[in-house]
Amino acid sequence: MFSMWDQTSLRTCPQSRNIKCYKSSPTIIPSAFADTNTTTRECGKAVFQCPRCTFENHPSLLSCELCGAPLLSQHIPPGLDNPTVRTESPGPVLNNLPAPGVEENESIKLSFRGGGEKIFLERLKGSMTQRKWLLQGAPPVPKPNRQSASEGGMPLPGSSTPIGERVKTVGIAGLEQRRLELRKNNELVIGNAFEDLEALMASAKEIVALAESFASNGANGTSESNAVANALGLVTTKDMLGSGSNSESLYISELSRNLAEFLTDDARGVLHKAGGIISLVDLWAIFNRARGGVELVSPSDFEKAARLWEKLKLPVRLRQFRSGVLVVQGSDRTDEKTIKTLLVWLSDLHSFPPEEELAWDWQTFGRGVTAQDAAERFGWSIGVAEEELEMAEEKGALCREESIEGLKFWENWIVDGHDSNVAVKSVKSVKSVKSVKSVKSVKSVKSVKSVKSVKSVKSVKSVKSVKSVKSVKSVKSVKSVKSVKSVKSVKSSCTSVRWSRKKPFTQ
Amino acid sequence: MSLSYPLSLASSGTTLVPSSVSTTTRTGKPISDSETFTYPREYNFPPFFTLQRISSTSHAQSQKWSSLIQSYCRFHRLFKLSLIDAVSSPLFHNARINKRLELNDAREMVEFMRKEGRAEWIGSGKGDERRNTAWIWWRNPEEWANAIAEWVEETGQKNTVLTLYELTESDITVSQEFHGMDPEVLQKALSTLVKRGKAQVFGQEDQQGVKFF
Repeated sequence: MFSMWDQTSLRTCPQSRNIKCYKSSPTIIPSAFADTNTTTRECGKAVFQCPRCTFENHPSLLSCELCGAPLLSQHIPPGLDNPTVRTESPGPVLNNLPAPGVEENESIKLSFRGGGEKIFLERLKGSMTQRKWLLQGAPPVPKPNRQSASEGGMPLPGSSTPIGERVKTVGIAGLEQRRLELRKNNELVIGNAFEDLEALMASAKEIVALAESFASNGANGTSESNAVANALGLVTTKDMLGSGSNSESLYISELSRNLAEFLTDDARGVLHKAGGIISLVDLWAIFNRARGGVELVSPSDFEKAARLWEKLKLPVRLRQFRSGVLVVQGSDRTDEKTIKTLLVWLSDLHSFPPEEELAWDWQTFGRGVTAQDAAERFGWSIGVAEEELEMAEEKGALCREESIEGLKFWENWIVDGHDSNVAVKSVKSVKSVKSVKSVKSVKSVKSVKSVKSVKSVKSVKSVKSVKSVKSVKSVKSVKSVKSVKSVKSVKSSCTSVRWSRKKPFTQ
Repeated sequence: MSLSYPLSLASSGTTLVPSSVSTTTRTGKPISDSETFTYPREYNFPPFFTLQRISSTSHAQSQKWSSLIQSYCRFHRLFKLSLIDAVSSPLFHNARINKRLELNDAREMVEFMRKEGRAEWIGSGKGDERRNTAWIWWRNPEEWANAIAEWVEETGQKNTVLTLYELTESDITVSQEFHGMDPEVLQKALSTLVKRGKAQVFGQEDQQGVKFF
């Protein structure tokens, strides 16, 4: 036999009644009849179960420890012990109706056998929050009626807590009580008001869900709902995803995808119109304008979303120029490609005669271009054009000319053979080289059979064997050469040359 | 006169070669007999007159200017360059394309040459007002000394006394590059020879003589 107790004190609700758990049983024999208190049940357990509440009392007790019911004596007929034949418990009986707002520590005790208490508690809590009694035609908040509460019903025999006498509400105590009642009333009213707010919130969620369904329908095709969704601009909104740190990152990543779609959308052609590259600020403006002024995206969220592109492997990339300017471009766009297109353009200028007479030899050098020219040519914004030209300058492809006409960029004719090798780490064998314009550094060469002409070499660390060199114009430093068979002419060599095992050169 | 330095020295049998260099053809532009100086290709390239900001380009630019200034000075036999005057000369001012190198930029170029050992500011101090005139070492004193020593050797004038006037202005040296050279540069060149113990300078002021050993 197992008994479980759950005791809940009902004090939060003003309607709480003074409820007494009462179980009448005709077979109860007052404890006075129990001549002995050394009761043992048939099963031999040294406990005595209360017939009313089934609490297992210590056998020496005369009345139930929990409900106060008198315990049965030994002489009771054995059938009475069986709980299955127990008569149905009556419902709680209200024996008193105290005024709401009056503090009374009245309680109700519930006993459970064989579980069920958890479900009960759940339901109880639910109904406490729902307050269904308010909705089901309950009378308005009852006004406290002190007089009615003053005379309650007589306490039932065996009830653990007799109802205390009502305090007369006169004088200061009366005033206090009235204030207390007022406060209780206000609490209730405010509670109701908040309930309204919550209802509003609930329906707001429904509206957002509706907008979301518009948006998802839009993706499926119908132009009307598409228009609605676009008009609302609610493709990705903060509210749709709620709040909290988790949904914040979800919002950013959704926005990131949304942006990538916006950029690559052929119908809009945002990126295409801007020559494949657009500054982040411009894009932000266009994007927010497209949202029609609803659910605008903050700059910081925007940047965060743009930074996610790479992680999400979307076909657009955020790129930072050296000056710190952030631009957006397709992921397939590289500096090398940009430089190539710039150089192709500049080399075209060698062949197209200029409108006016130019002082320099334009067929050799071409022309200088300003950022404005580049912007017009490629559809870039001026800022982007400046950055791209400077990037190309930095890579050594272009050089600058400052004049009263402004800053112009030219093909780099200052650096010799800007397409020549800058550094060669190791060359195992070279059979024949006809001409090399400039090599900045060579770490090691194992064997060279013949070189016709080298214009300039800055440093060579070691050469194992050279069979024949026809002409070298300038070499700045050579650390070691093991063997050289023939060199026709070397015009100048600047710094130390250490020949470890040389053969006489023939001129 | 054409020196093929690495070859001649390499064949002299030393394994370690001093780094002193003869640079008659260093810039690759032989002294032409024609009256016009041939400018390098870059001289007609407008960006050449704007200081480049990217280090690799800037370095190439400085080298080209260095080479241009040296060959220009050699052609015109200029030993000293006054930058304030030079910025309006054709060296720094290309009238055809209407571009000029600004004074400060010209200073930068000469400063680059100084670091290369191809120029030397005249006057002490480092302020800009002092950096207006510079020696342009299209041959530095040491190289001049070598040239003179070589000539002395070739003409067998060891242990003879020559006046400085004879050395630079007389007919006997007219075929030599140091003919007509700046007296101050000559003094510097001779003093390096003196340090090496290959010459002795005596006399005062205008009457100086030199004896080679």
